[in-house]
Amino acid sequence: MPRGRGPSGPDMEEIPAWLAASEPYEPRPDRGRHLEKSLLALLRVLAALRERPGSVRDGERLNPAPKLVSTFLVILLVSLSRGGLFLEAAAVFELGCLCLLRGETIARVLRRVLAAGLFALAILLPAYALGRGANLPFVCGKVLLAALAAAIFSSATSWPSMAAALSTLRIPDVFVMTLDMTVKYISLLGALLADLLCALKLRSVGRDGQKLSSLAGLAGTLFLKSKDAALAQYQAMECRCFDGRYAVSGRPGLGRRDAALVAADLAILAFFVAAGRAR
Amino acid sequence: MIELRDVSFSYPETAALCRIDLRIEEGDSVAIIGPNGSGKSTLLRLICGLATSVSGSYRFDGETMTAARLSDPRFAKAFHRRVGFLFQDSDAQLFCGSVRDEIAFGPRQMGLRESDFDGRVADLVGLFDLGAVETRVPYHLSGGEKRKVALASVLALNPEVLCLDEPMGGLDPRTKSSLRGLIATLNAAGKTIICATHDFEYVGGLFRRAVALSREGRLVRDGPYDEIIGDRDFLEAMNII
Amino acid sequence: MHIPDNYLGPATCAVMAVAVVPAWVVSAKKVAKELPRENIPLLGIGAAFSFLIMMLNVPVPGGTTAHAVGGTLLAVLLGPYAACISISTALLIQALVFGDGGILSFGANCFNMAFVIPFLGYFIYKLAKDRVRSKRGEYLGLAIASYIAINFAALCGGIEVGLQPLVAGDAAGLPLYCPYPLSVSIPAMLIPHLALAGIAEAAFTLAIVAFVAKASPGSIYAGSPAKTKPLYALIVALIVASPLGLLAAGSAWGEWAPEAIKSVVTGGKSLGFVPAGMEKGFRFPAPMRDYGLKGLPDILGYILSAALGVAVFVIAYKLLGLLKKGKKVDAARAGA
Repeated sequence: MPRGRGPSGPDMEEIPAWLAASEPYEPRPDRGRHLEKSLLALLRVLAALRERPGSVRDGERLNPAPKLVSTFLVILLVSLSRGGLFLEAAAVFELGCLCLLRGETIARVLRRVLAAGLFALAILLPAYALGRGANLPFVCGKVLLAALAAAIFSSATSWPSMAAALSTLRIPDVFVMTLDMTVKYISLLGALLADLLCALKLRSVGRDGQKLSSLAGLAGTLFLKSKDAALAQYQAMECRCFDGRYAVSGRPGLGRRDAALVAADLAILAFFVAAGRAR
Repeated sequence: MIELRDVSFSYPETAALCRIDLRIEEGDSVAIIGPNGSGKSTLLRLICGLATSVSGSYRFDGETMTAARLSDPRFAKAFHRRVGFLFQDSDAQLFCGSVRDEIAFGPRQMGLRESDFDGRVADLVGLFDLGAVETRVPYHLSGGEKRKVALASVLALNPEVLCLDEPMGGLDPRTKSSLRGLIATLNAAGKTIICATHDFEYVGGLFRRAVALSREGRLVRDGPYDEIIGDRDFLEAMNII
Repeated sequence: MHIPDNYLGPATCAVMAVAVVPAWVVSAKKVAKELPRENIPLLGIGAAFSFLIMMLNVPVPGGTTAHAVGGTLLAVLLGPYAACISISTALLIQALVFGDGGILSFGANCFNMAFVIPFLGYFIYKLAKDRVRSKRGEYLGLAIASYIAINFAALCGGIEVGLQPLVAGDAAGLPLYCPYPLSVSIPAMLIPHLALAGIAEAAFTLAIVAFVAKASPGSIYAGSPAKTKPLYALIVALIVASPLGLLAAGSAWGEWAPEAIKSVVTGGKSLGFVPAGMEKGFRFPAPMRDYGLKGLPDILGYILSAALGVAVFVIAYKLLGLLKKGKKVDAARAGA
């Protein structure tokens, strides 16, 4: 590789001897992987919030408000149900919705439901040991169905659509704006926090006897940044003559697909009532 | 010392680096140039072990750097001590309650003898002229002071390789000049310098070599710094100037 | 501490949602009044901060990690009202976007984490701060406040979950939601928080507040002049304690219904008759007799009554406050 001239010039600074010498170093052992765990969880969240430019999520062609109402309805009916018959119908409905999604979305949904299922098993299995195991499969079934409904909704609905749904459902502008700002700043501040965690990890080259206070420094710095960001945000809004009204973009009209979803909701409600009467 | 072979890296929504072949010897001084979004920061992060390539291989001092290797805490700590990284945003690098604590953070973990520890911190406070702000919280310092504190905190580990991400960004001319002098001295003392930069005015004579990345993250040119920076047509075509 | 869906029955979820609404309303009003305009975006950004804090793995002694909620932390930094709004917002994003915490149980989760923790934590902290002059004492108070607040919230969660076998069983008495009784759910919730999460919460809160106090003392919430904190602690205690009344078998002393008084035993002998005055005396047709509603199980009635009582109490208090304000204005006018 051809090399040019080395560094030169009259303004070279003098440096201490130790900085000019090489240093053999063996790190002292230390416990704990809290930085790695935090960073991993954070990066997953940031990835989930990042929207690929130009890509459309499954289910984006549906109006988000009926989707939200439908999800809430299904979760409520599953919670109210007292018999296995309705749960089976709900499972059919939810799995039917699931199979309309893309493979990668289905995988994401199932991962979340699996996590909810394992958590439920861990919490509820000991009930058998206490002689309270009766009906547990029924309870677990309800937990899984609720988790599935919520997972389908959030995987098939981008955040801007969720905000549009809340706005359509007449939630006051100021709340929707606050929610929107929250999601935006989770990404922004989250990126800063990820960098801070990396910076802390890079300089944690030995045994950290002050792990908690180092992490607290990160959180404290994040808070100071949050305060500054809030002031800057307000000033930006003032400069743009913000008057309290908040327009949420992405409110598609109602189409055939939405009508089909509403019809399915009515059918499931009717089934719930019928199943209740049948008992 | 640093060897990247056919290395590619992509973020979930975009490709960042595409089939990079790069060798950097010990004691080299390399400028990484390219337009916005060309992957300069990504390349530095990869070299520092903050990211792992999706394909190709990265060898540091003969050791293959994989995610699995870096998940070994002992190896990772020894590696991070040898390769220092200066973030582009100083706010992302500083998290202690005082400038002194920030500089002392690394040496404290290294288990140095007390006299060495005190001497090291004092040397860096003096070198960067931070005596007046030693007890202040880094968050509230000016941009230039923050950059100095950040660099001091990295140098406190006495790394062999220094990766600098836009070190001159947002600094006033005097600070840029003194930073330039310091980097020159560190390289003359044997440290390897790898620097992503847009700021050609203040880094003349500092780098032996330049590596140009294209918008697609490909390495398009690798040669003597003066030659590449002197080729205005090339720089314009690359949207670097 | 996030309770997922179907561990709490829908009735409990509805009641907890009703119980937390007064906290939201009062917090929103207070924030609108107290927070300077330029800090309004701080509610959303504070929510983002709260969300991110909940993600961190905080190292605890013993080499393990725990998650902090940061409820007391946010209350001290932003004030309890702003903290309530911000944490509720963070919980909503967690539930809707990430499935962390249920959608039906959102009210219960907000009650525990966005109401109990900030208000109780702030109250205890203020109590300590006003009585102890030294910085050290103030910080000790802060640590104790955050420890107690998170554990109390865990207790509330344990009670909500543990009441399910009593509140919601099917015709055969089988559990429809969480099957554990209070004797299991309360220790199960409390012990991890007493031993681990509470310590993480206290230490983390203390360290962050100390950092911010040093770096930017003006950033910390200065406190509101009105002494409303004792109120909120009381409200919390009452709402939580009311279902526990159910655990006490039988009637409280002196509260016997006319029919029941016949069988009251004193000195080894039962009364054996109903006093004429009680039999023919005054009966007030209360709308929620025995704290119950027709058709609802007793326990639900208790909780609903408590929540209703709180709402009435809050309204009465605010009306009183209006009256007081009127008097103050009159006095000021008179003095001017």
